Amino acid sequence: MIRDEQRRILGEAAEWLATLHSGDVDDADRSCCRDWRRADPRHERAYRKMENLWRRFEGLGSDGGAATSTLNAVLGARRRQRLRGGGALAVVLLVGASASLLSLPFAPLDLLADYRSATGEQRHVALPDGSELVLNSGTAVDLDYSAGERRVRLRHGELLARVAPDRGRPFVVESAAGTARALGTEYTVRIREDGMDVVVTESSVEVCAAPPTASAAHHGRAHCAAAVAGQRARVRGDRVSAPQAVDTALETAWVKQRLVADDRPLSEVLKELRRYRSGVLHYDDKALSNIRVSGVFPLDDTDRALDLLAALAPIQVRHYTGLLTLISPR
Amino acid sequence: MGAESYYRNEAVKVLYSHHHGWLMGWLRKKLGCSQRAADMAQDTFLRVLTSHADLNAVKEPRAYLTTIAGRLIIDDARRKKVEHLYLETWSALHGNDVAPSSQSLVEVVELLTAVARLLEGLPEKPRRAFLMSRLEGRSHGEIAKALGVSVSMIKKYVARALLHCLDLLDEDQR
Repeated sequence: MIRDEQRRILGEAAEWLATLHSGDVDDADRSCCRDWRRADPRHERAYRKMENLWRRFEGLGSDGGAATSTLNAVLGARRRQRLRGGGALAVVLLVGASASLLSLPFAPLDLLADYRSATGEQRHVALPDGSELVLNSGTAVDLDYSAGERRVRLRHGELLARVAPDRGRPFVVESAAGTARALGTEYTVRIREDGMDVVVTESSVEVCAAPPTASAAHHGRAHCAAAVAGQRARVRGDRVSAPQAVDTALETAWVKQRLVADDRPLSEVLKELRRYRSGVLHYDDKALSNIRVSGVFPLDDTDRALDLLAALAPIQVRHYTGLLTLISPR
Repeated sequence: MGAESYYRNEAVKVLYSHHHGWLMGWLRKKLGCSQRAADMAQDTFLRVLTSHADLNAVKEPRAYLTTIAGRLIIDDARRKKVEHLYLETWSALHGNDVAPSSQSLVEVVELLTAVARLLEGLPEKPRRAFLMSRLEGRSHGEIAKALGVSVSMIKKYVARALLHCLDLLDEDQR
C-alpha cells in the first residue's frame, strides 16, 4: 500500500520533470509544479530524487549526436542484426563519406565544466553576485570567483554576460585567446576558430589578447583595446583589432533565439545554423555561392529555420533521419 | 576510519579469505584466462567494499559474489562495444582528423556504459524519446513528430524512462 503510494508520487515527479524539459513550458506549468512540490514533503523528496537522476546524464549529448547514436546502436543491437545492411548503419556510412568533406567545429566533451549547454540549447545561469550569463548553443564555462575578482572561463562557445556592478571586484571573461574585463556592463564573448570576438552592448570593456609567451605575460605585455557600447573587438593571435561599430541588436539576436540575416550569403547563414543543430548539415559552398538571403530565423527550431530558407531561396532541403540533412540548389 | 567502514572492511576480509580462491576458479572457467579472472576478482571485491549493501544480510556469499562478478563481465563487454561504436560514430560525424581526447573518451565511455545499463530493457520508443529529450535537448513537439506519436505521449515516455532508471539504481543499492 505504502509502496504503491510512493510509486505514484515518483511517477508524478517524473512527469513534472518531463514537462519542465518539454521545450514548451509556461509560467502556469512552473507554478503548478511548485505547488505540487510544496503540497507534501514526500513530493519534494521525490522531485529531488528525479532531479538528481536527470543530472546524471549531464555531459552526454554535446558531441553532435555521437552519444545518442552509440546508445541506440548498443541498446538496439538485437533488432538491428535482422536489418543489417539497411537503416541506421547505411546512414552512418553515408555521413562518414560526406563529413570528411567538411570541417565540423570541434566540440570538446567538457564533462567537468561548471556550466554547459548542449547543442541547440540556450541556458541562463544566475551567478552568486547577481550577475547573469546566457550560454549560447554548445557552450561550456567554469567559474572562478575570489575576493578580488570574478572570473568566468569560457572553454568554448559563446556567452552574454550581464554584469552586476561591483567596483572592488572586476568581472573578467577569459578564453584561450584572451580576456574581456568590465565593471558593471553587458557584453558577449564568442570563441572563434581563430580567436575571440567581444561585442559590448552597455558601458565599456577592456579586451586583451592572451600573451604569446609566459615571459611576455610576466612583463605585462599583453595587447589590449577598450571597446565601448555598440562596438566589437576581435582578438586574433596576440593582437586585438581596433574596435568597430556593429549593430548590437543583430549581434546579440541569438539571446532571443533569433538569427537575423540582412542580405547575407546563404552559406554563412547555414554555417551559423549548424551551431544549433545536432547531426550533420551538409551543403556544397560553391553550389550555393550566388545565393543571398534576408530574414529572421528561429534558432530554437532549426528545422523551421531551414523550411523558411527553402521558401525564401531556390534550395532543396532533404532530411535523412535526425542525423543528416542535405541542402542543394533547386 | 569510522566504525561502520571498519566493520565493512572486516566483513569483506572474511568474504575474501573464504571465497576468493573459489571465485577465481569460477571466473577462470567463465573467461578462459587467468589474468582476466584475477583482475575481475579484484574488481568484484572492490565493488563489494564500496557498495552500500548490508553484508551481514548476505545469506549466500558465493551467489552474491557471482552476481556482482557476472554484472562486471557484462559491463566490461558492453564498455568495449560502447567504445568501439562511439569512436565509429565520432569519426563519421567529425571526420578522422579530430579525435576526442583520450581523457574525455574514457569519461564518456564510462558514462555511456552506465547509461546503457540504466536504459536496458526499456522499449525502443520510450528510450528514443528520453535520449532525444535529455541528451539532444529536443522539444516534445519535435520528438513526437520524429517518433510518430502524440505530444502528450512523449511526456509519458520520458517519465517512464526516468522511473525505469530509478528502479535499476535502487536495485544496485540493495
